[in-house]
Amino acid sequence: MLKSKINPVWTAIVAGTVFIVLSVILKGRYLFALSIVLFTVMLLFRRPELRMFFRIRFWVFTLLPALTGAFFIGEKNLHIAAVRVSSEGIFEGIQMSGRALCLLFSFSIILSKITTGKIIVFFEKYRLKGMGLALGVASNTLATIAQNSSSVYHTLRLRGGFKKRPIKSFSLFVVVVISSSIRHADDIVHAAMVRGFDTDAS
Amino acid sequence: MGRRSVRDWVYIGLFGALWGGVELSLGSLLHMLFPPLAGTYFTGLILGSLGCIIALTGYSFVPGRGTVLLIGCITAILKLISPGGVKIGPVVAILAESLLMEAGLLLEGGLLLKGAPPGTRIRRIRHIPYVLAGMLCLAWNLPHRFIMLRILFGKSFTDVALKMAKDGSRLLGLQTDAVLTVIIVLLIIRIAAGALSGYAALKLAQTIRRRSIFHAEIKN
Repeated sequence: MLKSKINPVWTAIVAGTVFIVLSVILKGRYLFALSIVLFTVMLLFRRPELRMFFRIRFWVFTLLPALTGAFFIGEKNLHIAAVRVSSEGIFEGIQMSGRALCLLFSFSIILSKITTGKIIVFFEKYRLKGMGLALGVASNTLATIAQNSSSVYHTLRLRGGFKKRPIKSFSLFVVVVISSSIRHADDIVHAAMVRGFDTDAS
Repeated sequence: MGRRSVRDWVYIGLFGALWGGVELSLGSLLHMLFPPLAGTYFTGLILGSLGCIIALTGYSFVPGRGTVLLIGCITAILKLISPGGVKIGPVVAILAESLLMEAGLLLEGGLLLKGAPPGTRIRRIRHIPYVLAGMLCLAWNLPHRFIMLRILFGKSFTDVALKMAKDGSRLLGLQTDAVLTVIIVLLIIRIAAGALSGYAALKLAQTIRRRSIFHAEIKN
């Protein structure tokens, strides 16, 4: 009974917000403990997001503060492979990386239960029907835009447009994709009007 | 923001989808092509320019206060819920750029409603708000990275960045003012790109309108 009363979306938002605040406030061992907690939550509920650990960009982003801190913060009191670095700087850098990771994990937790449908329902509930319509159109039109873009690109490519006149072909590509998308949008408008849809009606 | 029709909301959704499509597809490709630290200077500039063109083209079809901001909100939501990890940086950039474009477009109402000075061609004045909106939009691109890093890494990041700038200029034998000059040059490049994007958006909208009228005439 309690499970049915708990709204998972609001739970995720509240939990994520609390974690964000803690990520900003905490330092030292408390921040380290928070990062362990968040990593565990991610492992249990958002495992696909942890694929970021396999990306080079992620490690550049994570290790950069420690590296820069080692050379630019505090007095250089350590020798690592004939290079003088600062232990205070390394610690400060690790703390910076920890804070960034905790913030990223916290945002991921907030977004874990949010879907397009739930956002549209939220807009409808708070009488922002127009925004719900716009978001619905946007999420459903993405596939149509991708398809249009692909067919226009191949049409221009087969005519040799991109090789002969690349700039003109690119501008033609943009114009045609947007024009065809607008025609599709006009069809949606007509369909909505025929069905008596009105953003002002409750 | 005024009362909007069903057509207005559908067009806002459409242009939000167009901007979102560019962010999701081209954004991923550019992030793979360019190294991580160079991301802002190339990826941000290219995506910012394209986003500016799309949003301002959308404004041309749905003129009114708040249109560009709403297009930006739709794009930001699409970016947030798309698969592929957390994207706080791009979402903040999209919203900030929309707000700045909206600020630039505030001028248009004043120029057109209050009337141009006698003898001035209205067509020339129409470019100014779009160019200004584009300039403000792309101007965000330079401080964006620093602001996001400050938010993510905290106060220590500011101290590190300032020390790096001082030590770096001393190492290269440059005056500290030279660092400021480099930043100003980078900002001017972005503002110029923004001005071009704003102008391109207006021209694109006019071309699309002419094409739509031509298509309607053929159909009839």
